[in-house]
Amino acid sequence: MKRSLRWDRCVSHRANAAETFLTDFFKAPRRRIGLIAGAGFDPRSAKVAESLSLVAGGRIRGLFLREERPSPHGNLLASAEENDRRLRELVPGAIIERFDIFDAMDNAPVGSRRVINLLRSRFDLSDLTDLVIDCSALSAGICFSIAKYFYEITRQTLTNIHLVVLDNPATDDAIESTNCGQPSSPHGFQGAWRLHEWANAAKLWIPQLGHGKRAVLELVHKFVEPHAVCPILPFPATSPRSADRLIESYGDLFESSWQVDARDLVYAHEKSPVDLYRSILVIDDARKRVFKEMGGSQIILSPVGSKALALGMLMAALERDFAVVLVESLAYSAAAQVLDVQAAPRGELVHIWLHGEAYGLPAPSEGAES
Amino acid sequence: MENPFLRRATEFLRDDEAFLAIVSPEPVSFYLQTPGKNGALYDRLVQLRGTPGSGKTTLARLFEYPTLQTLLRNQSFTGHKDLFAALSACGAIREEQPYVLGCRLPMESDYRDFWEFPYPNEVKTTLMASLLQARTVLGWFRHLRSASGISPDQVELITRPESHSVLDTIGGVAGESVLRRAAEVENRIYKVMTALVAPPEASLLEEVGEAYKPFDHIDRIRVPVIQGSETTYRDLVPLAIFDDAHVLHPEQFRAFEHFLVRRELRIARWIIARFDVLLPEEALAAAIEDRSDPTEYPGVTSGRDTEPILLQSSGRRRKQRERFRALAKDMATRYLRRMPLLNEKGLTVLGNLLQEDEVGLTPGKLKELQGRVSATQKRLRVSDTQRDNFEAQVRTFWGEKTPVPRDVALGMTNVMMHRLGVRKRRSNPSLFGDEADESEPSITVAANGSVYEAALFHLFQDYDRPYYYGIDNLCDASSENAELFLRLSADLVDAVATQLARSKPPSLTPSMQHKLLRDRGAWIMDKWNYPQESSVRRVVQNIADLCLKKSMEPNGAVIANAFGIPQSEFDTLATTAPETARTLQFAVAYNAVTLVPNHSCKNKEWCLLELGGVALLKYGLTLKRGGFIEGTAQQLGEFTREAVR
Repeated sequence: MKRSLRWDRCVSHRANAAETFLTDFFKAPRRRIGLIAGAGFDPRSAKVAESLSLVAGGRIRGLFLREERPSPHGNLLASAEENDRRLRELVPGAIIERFDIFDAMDNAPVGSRRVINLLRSRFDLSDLTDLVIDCSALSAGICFSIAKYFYEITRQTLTNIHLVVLDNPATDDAIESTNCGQPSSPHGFQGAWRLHEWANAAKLWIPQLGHGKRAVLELVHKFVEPHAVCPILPFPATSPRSADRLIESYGDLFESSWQVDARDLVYAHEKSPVDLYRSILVIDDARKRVFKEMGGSQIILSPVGSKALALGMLMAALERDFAVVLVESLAYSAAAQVLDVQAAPRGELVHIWLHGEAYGLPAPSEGAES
Repeated sequence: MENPFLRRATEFLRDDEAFLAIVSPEPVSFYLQTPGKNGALYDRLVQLRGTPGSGKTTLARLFEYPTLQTLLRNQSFTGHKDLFAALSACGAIREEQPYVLGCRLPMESDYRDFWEFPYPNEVKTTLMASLLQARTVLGWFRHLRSASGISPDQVELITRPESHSVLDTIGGVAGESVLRRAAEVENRIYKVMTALVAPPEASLLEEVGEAYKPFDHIDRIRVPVIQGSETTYRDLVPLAIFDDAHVLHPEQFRAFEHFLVRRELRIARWIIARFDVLLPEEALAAAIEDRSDPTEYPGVTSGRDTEPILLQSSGRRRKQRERFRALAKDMATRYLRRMPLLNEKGLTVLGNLLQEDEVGLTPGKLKELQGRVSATQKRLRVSDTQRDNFEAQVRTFWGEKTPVPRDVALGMTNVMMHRLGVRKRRSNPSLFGDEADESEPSITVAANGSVYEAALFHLFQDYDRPYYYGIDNLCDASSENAELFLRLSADLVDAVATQLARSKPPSLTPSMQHKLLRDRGAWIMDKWNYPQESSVRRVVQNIADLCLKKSMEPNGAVIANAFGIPQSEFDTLATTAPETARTLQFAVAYNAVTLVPNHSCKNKEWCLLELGGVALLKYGLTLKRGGFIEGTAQQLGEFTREAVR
């Protein structure tokens, strides 16, 4: 029996349609908007704030988050300071909060827990009609936890939650990262796969493949020890050879420790997070039937590639309580031209209406599965 | 064809048979036999520490109940007999039955989260300890069922006599109820742990339930053993192995250690960790101690209450190196047996596939070398008689079994002439340069091992003579790290397989080995990706540059691969230069550098930072130990700071 998906009919837009939506929707004077975004070095930090301030100036309450990592490079700091200044200009009265992604003493990835504490103490949703979470300049683990926190506390209200991201794979690829070496789950996405009751479950790991992410994915694979691996490849994609290049990069892993064959590959439209969301849930439905009598099935997701596709994983994880495992970045580096806000390409705006008026209140029985 | 050398040992963990086929008994015997025989492995807290890839998890995995059962089922298999003997010698197997019911709990991820809770440390530790105990109990039952088909209703706990009044808290002594209670505790605590917002401390009792401390009460676990129609009972020693405990917060780690070190606990318990969990001063101290002693609590004595075991190069280094060579060769044989192409042809000894003869220079390069030596003789005004004397010494040094290779003889003579030149200048400082008597009888230069090493190094650097070849060099380049040995060997084994596929002799020439090892070393180093890696990389680069410059001096006085700072400066490094100490901690933890403390030289005590094998291969430095560049902690700090800028 086919199960209904929460976001089967999802309100989502991309590129011009998303920009138009943003303008038309938020220009209504009754909309009181909360904006949560990164205020780091990423050249996309202030772009969404710019767009919103043009149509809803004076109606935005901003909380901008600076992810602090040990020993950042000077050019990144300078860029972050510039973005910080720009955001304060665009959203007067905005709060800019710094928080540690890694514990100062032992370098443990603690950012996703600490950001929740920050949101609880520094951000009040009560008089807002809409909350926009701009994931463009936030790391995946942080924006997953933020989205889950607000999704949970607004579930019984009609406060709208919008996820937006400026999708620009070129900028993503140009920012190099050093992983911390320790796989972890963003807070709220630990899933149930490590519980005794799921000890005999068949574990499927669905990693999003990305260039330069091999070391990270090897760590996650070792940590998860899955029974099967279904890597996600972007297809259709802007660059039609993109999937081939990824297969070339990861081919030896496919053939050795991952044991992936052609039937295991999941192709997801590079520009459609909702496509990926649906694909993952279809896989889950099929596996639940197959493994029902044999200890059950558990799916573990790893969003380490394009940020737009990561939103599809986020939706799937929110709906089915899938575990998410990734490796937080300890440090970033980027060339000066990548950080140049004026010169950096804007990228295509992706918008997902996650919760609120468009869907109505959830039925009492509807809830995240565990 | 799949190359097993490319897989980590831990990748074989899921399949016990495959895992046992590749495990060498050598580390079990070396590290665990003594404490196993005297019972220290099972009656107190065991602290196993080592670098990544040093075999910590592999060792732990051997003591898990399903592995022991698989080994007992297949004890007649080739290669299993020595493993059986080693585990029996450690006391893990007694009377051909498992003595311990081992369960390994990887501590990655979840448990560190407890330290982020807004509760007092004591509450956080109690929550974590309860979850770990519940999961250990669940693990014991899971292993009994999967490995021996023993269901929970056949299991009975033997508890301490003084625990009888509180046994309800752990579900009693009957297997089924104990299992049920453990699962309930796990679920309750997991809910608290994964709650987006932690519940208030006041409601914890309601959320989690009453205290759960099975380790305080369990003594033995009684299971049935069916032999024919007869059923007897056997009491197993429960063993909890907490793997990768370095992910815990240092204070959390200490609190957990404190919990486990208590004498009243009857179960066997091991903590396995890398050095990362320690603060820099402790990590560096642990790395240079033969037996680390990080546990200092009131009333706790290392050796009596804890059993520290360090899986790291330290102490008697020559012996360590020899021991690792034996382990690596045994491991290589086990891996080669898994490659049908080689196994069918009996090619299971890696050393036999790595040729060590036929090393030499091409005629053109040899001619060039001859010219250089003659020029040196002329420039340094060395008489023909003296040169003849040097050449005779070289022949004596070499021995009579084989004729001394021409390139080596020339290289050694060249080094000796430069040494003579330096000594003449020192003994007769003159305004007119080297006008001293050439036949100064008091100046002697002997052909010895140091001259030989210098000559080989110069021939490698100047004439590209193969330098890294042979099984012993391969082992030495592995920094006594099993995983690194496998990674370095992988390309060599691939090349052997290719030779065979092309119907060529399987063994690799020294020049092939040399090239493959250098390429592999550079590749591994390029892929370094760990905390503070860029600082570590810069430190390694700076040390390597200094060593190379010194080693290339024509008299070959020091063929270096290490940087030394005065021991007194090293001892205070964590307080005087915390950032440098932190970098050094990760350099040691990831095998980029090995610490050699209290090295006496020129009436001073030094602490040497010896470069790891991968860096030595990449930068072309000697694998022989001992030669170092004298430096200071301040210089070391400068290397680190450059990286941060």
